[in-house]
Amino acid sequence: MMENILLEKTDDTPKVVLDYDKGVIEFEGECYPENTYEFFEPIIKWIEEYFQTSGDKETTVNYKLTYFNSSTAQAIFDIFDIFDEHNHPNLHINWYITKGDRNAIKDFEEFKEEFEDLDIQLVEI
Amino acid sequence: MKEDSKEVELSVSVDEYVIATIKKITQESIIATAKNIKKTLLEHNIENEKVLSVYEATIEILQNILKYAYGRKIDENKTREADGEFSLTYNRMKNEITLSATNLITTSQQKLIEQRINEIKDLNEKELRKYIREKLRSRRHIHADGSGFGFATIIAKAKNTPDITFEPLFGNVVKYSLKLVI
Repeated sequence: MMENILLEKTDDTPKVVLDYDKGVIEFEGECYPENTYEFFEPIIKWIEEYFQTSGDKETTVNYKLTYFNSSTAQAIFDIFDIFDEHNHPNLHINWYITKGDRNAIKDFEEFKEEFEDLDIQLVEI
Repeated sequence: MKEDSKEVELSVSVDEYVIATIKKITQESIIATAKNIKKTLLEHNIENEKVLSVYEATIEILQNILKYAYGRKIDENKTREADGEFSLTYNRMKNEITLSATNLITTSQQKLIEQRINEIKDLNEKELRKYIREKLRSRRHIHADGSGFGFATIIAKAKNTPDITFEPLFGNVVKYSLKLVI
């Protein structure tokens, strides 16, 4: 059984929930760390291992990033690549944005288009 | 700027009024500066979308200086400190915010920046987004810091093509200046 990971939000990194038991993967807040790869390395490793061991387990991804820098965009893209490689009918992604945020909608539309097989739902709050 | 200069001046002004100044570019000072800029611009009733663009461009520009400036320092914890200048001014009449940044780079970095400028200078917003997406695809699983398209994300927020100049200083060191209007 994998260990769950909870990272609390900081000024430049988001809250991260990686909960194997509940099948929840969540990112919330802003993300522009000084060393992006070092921040995401264990997260990407956990997600890869999760999909290798969880089969078709009901899994919910809550994407609630309000800002990310260009280095983080690459890490997020790689994480969505993992979702895409291991996609199954019980994987659901909720992409949260602030209502009316046009740039956030464009980001969502681009990821939706890039990863067209994934179930990505826009949630405006 | 002298080769051995360690002075860094970051200032934010609204109608010439300086409201924030810090002396060193570090991740800590970037966070403080960006948050201060955001708060101040919102207090001046500038529209949220423009404030966010300025906030994001500020972080991207300052992190670029932090990561790539000539002579930057990096300690055993990979914490960096760099020299550079950054200023932000707001023109109330035109409702324009100008971001100006200067730092030292090497001639090979100059070539890279010039190459990227040529790749993106004639692209509209939609084409810039497509360019960024192609960069993301091409760098899949490289697992390293730096995205290769930070410059494009800065340009995408500008009203028009930014002013960029390179001034040779000594050896392979060049003074790089960027000015963009949002």
